[in-house]
This record gives sequence, structure tokens and C-alpha cells, in this order.
Amino acid sequence: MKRYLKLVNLEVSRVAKVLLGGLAAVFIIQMIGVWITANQYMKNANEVIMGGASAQSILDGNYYMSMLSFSNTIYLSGPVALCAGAVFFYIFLIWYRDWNGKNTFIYRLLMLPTARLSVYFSKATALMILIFTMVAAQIAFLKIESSFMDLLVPTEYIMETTVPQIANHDFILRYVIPSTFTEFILYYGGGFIILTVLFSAILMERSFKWKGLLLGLLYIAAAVLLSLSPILVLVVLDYADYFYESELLYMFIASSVITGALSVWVSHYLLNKKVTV
Amino acid sequence: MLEVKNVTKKFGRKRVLDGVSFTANKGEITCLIGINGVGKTTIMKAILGLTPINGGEILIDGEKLTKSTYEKLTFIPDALAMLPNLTIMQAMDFMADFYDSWNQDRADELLQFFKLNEEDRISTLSKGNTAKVNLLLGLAQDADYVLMDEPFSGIDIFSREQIANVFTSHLIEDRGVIITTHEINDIEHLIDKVVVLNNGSVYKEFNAEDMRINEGKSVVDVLREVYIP
Repeated sequence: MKRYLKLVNLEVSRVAKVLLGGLAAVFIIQMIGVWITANQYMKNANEVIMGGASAQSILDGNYYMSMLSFSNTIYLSGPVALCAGAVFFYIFLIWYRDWNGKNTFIYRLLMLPTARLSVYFSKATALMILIFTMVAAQIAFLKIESSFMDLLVPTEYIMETTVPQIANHDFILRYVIPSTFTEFILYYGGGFIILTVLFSAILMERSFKWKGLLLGLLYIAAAVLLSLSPILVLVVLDYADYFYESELLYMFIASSVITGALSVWVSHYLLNKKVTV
Repeated sequence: MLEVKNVTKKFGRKRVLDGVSFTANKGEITCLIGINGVGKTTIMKAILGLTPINGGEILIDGEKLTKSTYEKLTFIPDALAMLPNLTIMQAMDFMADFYDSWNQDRADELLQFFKLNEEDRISTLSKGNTAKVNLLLGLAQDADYVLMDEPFSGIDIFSREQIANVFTSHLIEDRGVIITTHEINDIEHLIDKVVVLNNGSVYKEFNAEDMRINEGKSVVDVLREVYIP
């Protein structure tokens, strides 16, 4: 356990600088976005007033400024989508960088006097820490950006919104910041299972090279089918209508958990018996 | 004793190791030699469990390789396997964190022996100093067996001399050393046992000193007989 935690610490510290840099970039882009959105609003409002209308008429027309106007813009959704893409890219990089480059660090990792599965879980844990750090930072950013908007737009034009409201309104953030615990388990539990499946596929490639790449792709397809198997079987047999939605959901969760457990076992086997440096 | 018994390894259809067998004892320096591609590094990796074998077995003091065996073995690969952004001190801390066999006194001694500055970042080191750090991280473990893969590769003559001096120092003590190298001349006088590999199998195994005394041949002479008949 101690060595696992040390490995997690190592993996997190390897990505910490990039993570901080990325978060700083996201924050700057989003703040610029708030500034542009607020200024655009004020410009429009001023034009309406200059046209002879009263400020009250703007409010009567329900033309308030809020963070909801900022959501679904390229300034908010763009960096979030880029972060999601970066995390997906990092799922591969976290393994391949240890095999490649001048200093082949995978030698050291695989020769540590600890279970190789610790190396596997340390990488998975580091990725989850990375993701939750990003989410926590995004929540904090939304609060700061909300306050920033309050500074840019007169109070009477502002409609206060909460972080869940903003997140729910944005087509990407609603998955990043789920509004219910069930959604949280579904999105992040599902995300973790996808992670284990991708790790298995990567280790297949690392074990059998080109054949492994093909095997990995087939494994991903098989894992998707296995996860969806209860629903697919019921649909094919025309029994789906006999179950409540919640029952179908539980079946899907169960098959997904089995898929995740199978992926961990496959990775364990590959790391111990097949992987080649 | 480290025993490699009838080990076979295939890459696709190509048989890289074909029934390789030899032993390496504590207190001896065993040199695996052969031209490029005969499977020297593959044997090293197989011993360390870094590449799976297709047949045979490898025993360390009578036991198969397990995670605890990694405390008995230390590997010095041909390139330093450590994060380049770490300083030498941080790299030593990393090793101390993970290996119970890490010996900080010996690490400090090796630092002085190689005249290395522990504050230096690995990415800024010369090739010679990188090789020395590689040796330091490997030798500072109280491991029974030291495996070295081309420790002299691509480094200057003075660094090679300095590294060769390690073999005659107490830093090796009574450990078993298995080394692969093309720079035979640098360590020929230090080698106890020579295992000549050819076409994926052991062509000849002999004691270097006996060969010199009884047949008047150097290791290089034997190699010539094998590869330039």
C-alpha cells in the first residue's frame, strides 16, 4: 500500500506542472470569455437605451445577463472539451511515455519490488485525481467568473445563477458536473470502466505489438458488447418492455462492473506474463 | 546461484534464444558476449522478467522470479532508466523509497567515487556521467546479483576506466555480476567466466583465466574463432 501511494504521488507529480499550466490557460480563456460576453451584453443594452428605450424595458423583456449566457459558448465549452480531449490523450501517454524516449522508465517501474498491478492502479488513480482536480478547479472557476461578471455588469441587469444551473445549461459541463449522485456514479464509474478497458487494450499492444493492436481493438468492441449485453439480449428477445428503466439500468451497471473487473484481470495477466520491454 | 536453464525465446517465427543454459555464481563476473543480435539483452530481460520466455526456466538461488526477487537483483540497463527531470539526489530518494535493499552509505560512496554532484539534474548530465549515475543507482542496492547491459556503451575512455575500476573495488564485493559488453578489452582481465553466444544458443562457456593460461588465447581470440572462422 505504501509503495502504491508513492507510485501515485510519482505519477501525479509527473503531470502536475502540465495540469497547472492547463488549468491556468482554461481560467484565462474563460475569464476573457466572460469579459467578452459581458461587454457584448452591455453594448447591446446601451444601444437599446440609446435608441430611446428605458433600462426597465430591457428588464421587462427578460433580457437579463447571467452566466447562462456564457455557457454553451466557445469560451466555456471549448476549454472544457479540450481538457476532456487532453485526458483521453493522457490515458495513452501515461503508458507509452514510459516505453519511449531516451530514459526507458518502464524498466524501473516493472522491476520495482512491488506487485505490477500497483503500477497499473497508480496510473489509473493518477488519472482519476487529474480528472477530479480539473472538475474541482472548474467549479471554483465558475464561482470566480460569476463574481467577475458581477463586476462588469450593473447589479440590476444580473440574474444570479448557481454552479449547478450553469453546469446543467452547458452541453458538455452537464456531464462533467453531474446534478445527481446517480449521474455522478454513472458518468465517473463508466469513465473508470472505459479507462480499464483502454488500459487493457494498450497493454495488449505492448505485449503483442501489431497483433496486440488488433487484439486491443477487438477487445474494446467486445467490452462494449459485454457492457450492453443485458440490454441487447432483452431487446433482441423483445423482453425489454417487461422491465422498469431502473432495472435495465441496474443490469447495465452490473455488466459494466463485470467488464471493468475482467479488464483489470486481463491487465494483471498481461503485466505479469506477457508484457515486453 | 543464478541459473538459466534451456531458455527459449521467439519473436514471431524467429527463435532468438534456442535452449540457452548457463549459471552465474556470487563472487564471479560472468560476461555474455557475442555480436549484435545474438540475444544478450534478451537474456538479461528474460532474467528480469521484462520479456516472457517461451520455454525453459530461470532460477535465482533456486527460486523463480517474484516481486521479492527484485530485491536480490539489480539491473543496470544500457540507458539510464530514471526520470530525466529528477536530480541525482531525487533519483536516489526514489530508489530508497522503493527498495529495502537500498544502501545510502554505498550510494554516498559511489557519488564520491564517480565525482558526481547530487544536485545535478539527470537531463543535464553528459553521457559518461549518465552512465555513472546508472551504475550508482544499480550498485547502491545490497543486491546479490548485478546485471549490466553494455555499461561502457558510447562513453569516453576515462569514464570507461573509472567504471572498470568499480569491478576491482569493494563496491562489487562478493556479488555475482552478469555483464554484456562489446568493449571486452576494458574488462577482460576482470572477467571470471565467459559465455559466448551464437545463433541464439551458448556456443562456448569457459573460464577466461584458464583459457589464457592453458591455451594462450584471449577472449577476443576465442570470439574471432567463433565469428570469423
